[in-house]
Amino acid sequence: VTVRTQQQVRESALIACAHALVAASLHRRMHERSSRFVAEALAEFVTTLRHAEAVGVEMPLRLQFDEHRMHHDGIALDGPSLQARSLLRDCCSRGIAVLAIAPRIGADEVNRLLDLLLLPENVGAFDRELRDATLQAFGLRHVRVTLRSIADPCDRKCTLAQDDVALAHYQDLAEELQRSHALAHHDRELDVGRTTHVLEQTILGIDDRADEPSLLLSLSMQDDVDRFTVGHSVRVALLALQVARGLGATRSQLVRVGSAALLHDIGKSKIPQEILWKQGALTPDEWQVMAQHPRLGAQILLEQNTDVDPCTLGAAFCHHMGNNGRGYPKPSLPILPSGISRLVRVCDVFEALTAVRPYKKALTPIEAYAVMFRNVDGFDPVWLRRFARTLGLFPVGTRVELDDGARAIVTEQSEHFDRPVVRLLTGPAGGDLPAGHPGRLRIGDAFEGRTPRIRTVETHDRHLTVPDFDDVATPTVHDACLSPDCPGSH
Amino acid sequence: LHRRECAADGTAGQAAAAPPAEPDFTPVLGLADSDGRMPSRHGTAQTIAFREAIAQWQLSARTQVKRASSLPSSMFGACDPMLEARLVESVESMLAHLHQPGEELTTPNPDGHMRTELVSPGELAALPTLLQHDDPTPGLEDDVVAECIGILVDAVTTGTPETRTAAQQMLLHTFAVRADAAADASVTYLLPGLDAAQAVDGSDADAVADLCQRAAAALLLASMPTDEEIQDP
Repeated sequence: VTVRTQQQVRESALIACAHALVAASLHRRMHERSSRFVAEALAEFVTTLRHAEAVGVEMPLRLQFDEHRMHHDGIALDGPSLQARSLLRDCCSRGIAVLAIAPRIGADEVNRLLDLLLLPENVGAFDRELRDATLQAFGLRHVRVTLRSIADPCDRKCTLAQDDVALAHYQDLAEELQRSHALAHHDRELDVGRTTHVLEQTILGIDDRADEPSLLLSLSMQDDVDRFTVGHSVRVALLALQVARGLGATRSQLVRVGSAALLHDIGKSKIPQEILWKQGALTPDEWQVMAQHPRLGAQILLEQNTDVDPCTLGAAFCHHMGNNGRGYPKPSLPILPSGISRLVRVCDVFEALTAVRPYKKALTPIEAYAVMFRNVDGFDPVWLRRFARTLGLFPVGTRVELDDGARAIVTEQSEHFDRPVVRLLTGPAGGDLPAGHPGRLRIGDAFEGRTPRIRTVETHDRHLTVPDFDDVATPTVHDACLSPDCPGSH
Repeated sequence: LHRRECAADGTAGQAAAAPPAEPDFTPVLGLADSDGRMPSRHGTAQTIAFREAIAQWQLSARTQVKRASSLPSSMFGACDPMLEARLVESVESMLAHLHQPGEELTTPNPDGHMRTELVSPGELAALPTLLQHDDPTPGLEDDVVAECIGILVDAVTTGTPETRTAAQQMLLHTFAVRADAAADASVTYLLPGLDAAQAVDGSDADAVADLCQRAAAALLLASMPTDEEIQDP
């Protein structure tokens, strides 16, 4: 158990509150106002708010909004902002700068607050002269709203910092996918053309900036608490795009790869929410329902009036298929998955292993690779190796500790997949960086008389000790083996 | 307590500010009014209740520590501002450990393929060697046609009426696979294509796979009962 400081406990509680508010707003868009899912999401927000108060987060909770991010006390809440584009836009259109929410608020009151924030007919409800009357009319006794001043409009055009551009791209993808899942859930026509357009814009943005994929992938590590399958699908798409770019894919190929990866789980929009978000093991019957999602995804795509790219269809149907007929669904004719489907499968499982889920903790990327290599029939080994070599053993955004105790974050890969470039966050033993230190170094390159190496990899709640790869001669057959005859494989 | 915590974080100036004027600032440690299971990524309602219990316990632990120390609050802080925090965190970590013993990651994967997620140091150490294969560059669009035909045939055989119609249309118009063609005719139609593919490049495995998939699809569709036969057997 990692002992956390009070400050970390408070930050964690604060982020949970922001996530819960975003989740509640997304549930309101997806479901009826009085649905069970909305009720549960509202109750969770209330619970997290009270928990935050209990651990010492200053109350009332003051969330600040700008066009791209939520903030608290001047600190950007990037993780919760990733899926909050719609909420941020709605707050912006109402001129809201700060929402202050007192912890005694009840679920019904939060629901009324969301009426004001989300429903288009209430867009003018916070006009300066109406604000107080609106709050009173809606019975919002535990909410205070600070409006933007005329001098500080949120639609002010300015040059976005690189991080903001990456965040905007991520949010665009997430919002588009939220929309697609909601449409599919309600048996309505998808706007595949629009999804493709959003992807093209993202890919154009990536092409414009050499470091954009890294920034996007770093961002994806922020969102460790994904309440919807949306965050997962966006991350799978970013991973697949990263690998496809590494292969020298053309722009049209990138769009095909991105669309296929983004919509690979669209079939889950037809799985009952009780099963989709069940905590704990599924019963055999529930599992049968869940295992239908690839076939349902293909059916959803086929029923669109516009033609769907065969690669998108393939990824939706085949992303749980392994080698030699392993996996599901079992098709009427044997199917050999396409290259894109095989890539999406690898990205899908890697993302699932490295993400926090209700039933498991996140593995570090290096552990995820090891688990995937164990499953000889699970993946195309060529695609798995290509994927791991492209991302590296320590993907961009990974937080590491070096052998001198300095903490760092991986910023780019080098030609060696086990020797990334890192940006130092601290000096040796966690102290300050020495004056004049460049702040960046490549693992394995001699620097000031020593050769730095990575000692541990961090997740938000674990530290993993990394072996010294330079000392490794040959792997033991039992530990990791790609041969089907290997006794250690299963 | 609020002031003490802020002082421990070195923000004494802010801590001295007056508490907010809102009437609901009083701590409330009770649970929300929902007793249903929540689709939470932070844990179940029970674990949240557990955390809240710990938080409540933290507050009382601090009070007890202060009483036991019999020192004024300011002196206590002057000795070691983090002492309180460390004491309660130690207890919290012990309680958390009792609640969730061990760091084992024995989690069921929805795939059903990977049950064990514990990774040995040997497996980690082996990764660089495993990655150093001299692989051919994989093709993103390899086998797209064969895959698509297979999916369409599956949709025809297992899908809803709407899906079935859409899949049949796509098979016919995009891939020239006809459900009403006799098996012989289908094979006759495909054989020239197979010959042509081999003539261009005898090792074009993709093209051969596509054609075989078309032939198999045509045969399977030809053997299926028509809609009229289903309605009037």
